[in-house]
Amino acid sequence: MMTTFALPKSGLAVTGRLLLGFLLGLLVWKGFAAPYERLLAAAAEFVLRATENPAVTWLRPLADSREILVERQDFPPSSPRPGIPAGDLHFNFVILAALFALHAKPWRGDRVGAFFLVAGVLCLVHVVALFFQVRTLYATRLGPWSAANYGPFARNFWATGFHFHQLVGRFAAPFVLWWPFALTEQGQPRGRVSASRPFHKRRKRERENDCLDERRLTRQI
Amino acid sequence: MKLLANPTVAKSSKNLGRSTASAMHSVEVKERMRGAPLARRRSLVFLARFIGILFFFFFAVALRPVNDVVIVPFTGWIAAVSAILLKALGEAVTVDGTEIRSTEFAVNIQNGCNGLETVLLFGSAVLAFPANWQRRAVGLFAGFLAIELLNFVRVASLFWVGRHRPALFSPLHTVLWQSVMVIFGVVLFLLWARQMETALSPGASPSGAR
Repeated sequence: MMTTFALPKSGLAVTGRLLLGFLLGLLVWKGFAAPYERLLAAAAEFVLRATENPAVTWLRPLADSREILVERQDFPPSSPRPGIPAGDLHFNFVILAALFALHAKPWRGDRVGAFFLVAGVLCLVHVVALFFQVRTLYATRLGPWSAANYGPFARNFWATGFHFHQLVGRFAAPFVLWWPFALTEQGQPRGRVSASRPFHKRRKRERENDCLDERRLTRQI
Repeated sequence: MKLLANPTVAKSSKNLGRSTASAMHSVEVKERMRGAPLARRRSLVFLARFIGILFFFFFAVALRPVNDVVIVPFTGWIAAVSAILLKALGEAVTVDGTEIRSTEFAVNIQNGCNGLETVLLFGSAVLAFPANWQRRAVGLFAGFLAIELLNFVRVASLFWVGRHRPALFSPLHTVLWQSVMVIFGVVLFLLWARQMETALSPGASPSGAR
């Protein structure tokens, strides 16, 4: 048995599967973007309100401009509301779909199950990313209000987290989540008993082999 | 033959053979059963290393002196080469630092559009993977070249689309090209790593591994 990568041998197969996975992922991403952004905004809003005192933040997804609007109770009514581009947050779902399409028989039950599991974890990553993005906005982009409410450490902490996600985190997340499923075990040696075979079946096979040995022996004599 | 004809000796000889085969078989089964968790453990060790190296690279790149001395000139060089490509396609463009301009459209290349994110991912994965330093160096060099070549095409095509089909610029910039770059980097890494896949297999010899 050998551990190997779930990568087809032919370059054409790799390209075809990636393209198919990418297109399917793109279709799902595009189709479910609006309801997903509502879910994302609600989850991140819950976390934000749970971690601020008083709880004053609302996140409003705007379907037309594909933005999540940040609203605070204490914002002056006439001031413009900052918006966060929503597509940037969750487009990496498409990368995840393309990577899972690399597997042989990606429609197999366990592979689909793994994909949904990983997509769920990716959703949590999106919530955390949105939370960091709003906190970074509060800490660095609201002028004197930011300086008054966030110290240098807090500003650096939130901004570094957000910057990490923007530069490499959002690209690395699908790869990191997919990697544990990238290795498959292949090449069971023929004529050997599998380690996964139940014990009683292994014993039966051994007994049959013993009988064969005896018959061969008799013939030799 | 005569010895085998003696039932007692034949039986003991057969028993001996069977017990040896059985012992070898049980060792093999044990190794195999140990092999799967071992491969999983190595896979998790790879992930831990990958994330650690990625953090290190990120903090190195985020330092202002590194940004000013390495990243900005490198991005300017990307802009210059992409402009050459665009001129070859008949576009009248000029370059100012990290900005490519024409009379109707301009793009400013920043981190995230200079291919650095894919290079960091690819580089972290290659360095985290168990291989000797020579193979890593070859992988890093070839991967860097391939990623940046694709990035020239990305920058030039985005500029062209921005100028001639502005409605398509945003989806191409946000979703398509970013995804293509990352997937390209991952596939490059997998192709490189497949050459050394035995290093991750349970029975691999430690030679060649770090």
